[in-house]
Amino acid sequence: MMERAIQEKLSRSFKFVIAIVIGIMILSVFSNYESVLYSRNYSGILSSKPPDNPILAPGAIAVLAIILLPLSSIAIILVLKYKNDKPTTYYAAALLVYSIINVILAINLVW
Amino acid sequence: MDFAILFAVTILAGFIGSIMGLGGGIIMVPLFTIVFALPIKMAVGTSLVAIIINSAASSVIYLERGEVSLPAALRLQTFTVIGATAGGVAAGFFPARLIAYLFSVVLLWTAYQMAYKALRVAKSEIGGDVSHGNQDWDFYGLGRKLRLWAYGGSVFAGMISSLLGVGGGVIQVPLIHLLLKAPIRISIATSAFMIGITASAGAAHYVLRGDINPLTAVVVATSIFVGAHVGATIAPKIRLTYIRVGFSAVLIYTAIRMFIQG
Repeated sequence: MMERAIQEKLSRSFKFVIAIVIGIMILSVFSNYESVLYSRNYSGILSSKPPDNPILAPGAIAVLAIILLPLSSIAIILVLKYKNDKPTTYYAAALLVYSIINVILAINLVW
Repeated sequence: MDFAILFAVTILAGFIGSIMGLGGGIIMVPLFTIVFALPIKMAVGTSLVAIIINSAASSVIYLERGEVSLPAALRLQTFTVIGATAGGVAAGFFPARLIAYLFSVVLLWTAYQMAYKALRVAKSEIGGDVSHGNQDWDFYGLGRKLRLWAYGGSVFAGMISSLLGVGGGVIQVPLIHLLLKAPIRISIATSAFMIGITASAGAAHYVLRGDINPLTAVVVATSIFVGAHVGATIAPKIRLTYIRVGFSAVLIYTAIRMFIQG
């Protein structure tokens, strides 16, 4: 596929993914934001008291969704594929693998 | 009041970041630590989430205009993460202070190059925009030698980024613009796309360690989205000379900050 066509498709797909993430973010603002993901004690700007238990609240889900956003862009590139430029697809695959390993290492580090 | 300041400054960070291909961490981290007294780790983690949104919001518009060079972005990003990994391993062997001083000099030299180029081409660009899309620059048209230099530069950029905690945009924009001779708008758009990937890898560690305040991150992400979207939309109306001079100012600021902190 030609690069211009990929860029346009990527932009459209990216818009869709961002709309979902923004939707989750808005939902999280209207939900009970005092229950956050971690029990760590800290003084946040808007959340003043630490939760009693680690709860996967919508705010935290939104943050996780945001972090996965760039990975989705690389995944979309992989799906669209460069027909005339296979190395670019390979680089995208390498980056995706790297990013996934990074997330897995981070999860292992904590849990 | 705090909420208003947070909202206003992060909108500004998104606006400037998207126009210059930066993440905005250079504005947000000092804001979070100095004004809002957030612990440094939480400030960096929250800033990384905002950078991802900044990158995504800008990239949608830049991709639509055809200003992102995806082949360049994916290749350079791959070599940048190799450099960042190597930098993480090498961190214990290099004196960080010396590297900070040396890199300050490199940044000042880069700022001079950008400013010089801005002044040299100012006359020819009066009247507005000169580059839309990828038609005036093609990554595939670059020579093998130049590409190898760029890959090496990206490894170096990744190492510096990892050793000194400098965001990707400050290094990637000059690298693409000055070394690969890409037009400044393509350099900025490509960098804006790349910094999201870099920040995503870093942010995963912070979020899983609990060094991100989800609500703050969501509020900041919302405001930075607005700023980045507006910035990327009006970017073509801003004269390239102003962008180059503005970028030089950011580089000088970063160099001075690094020198003092070093």
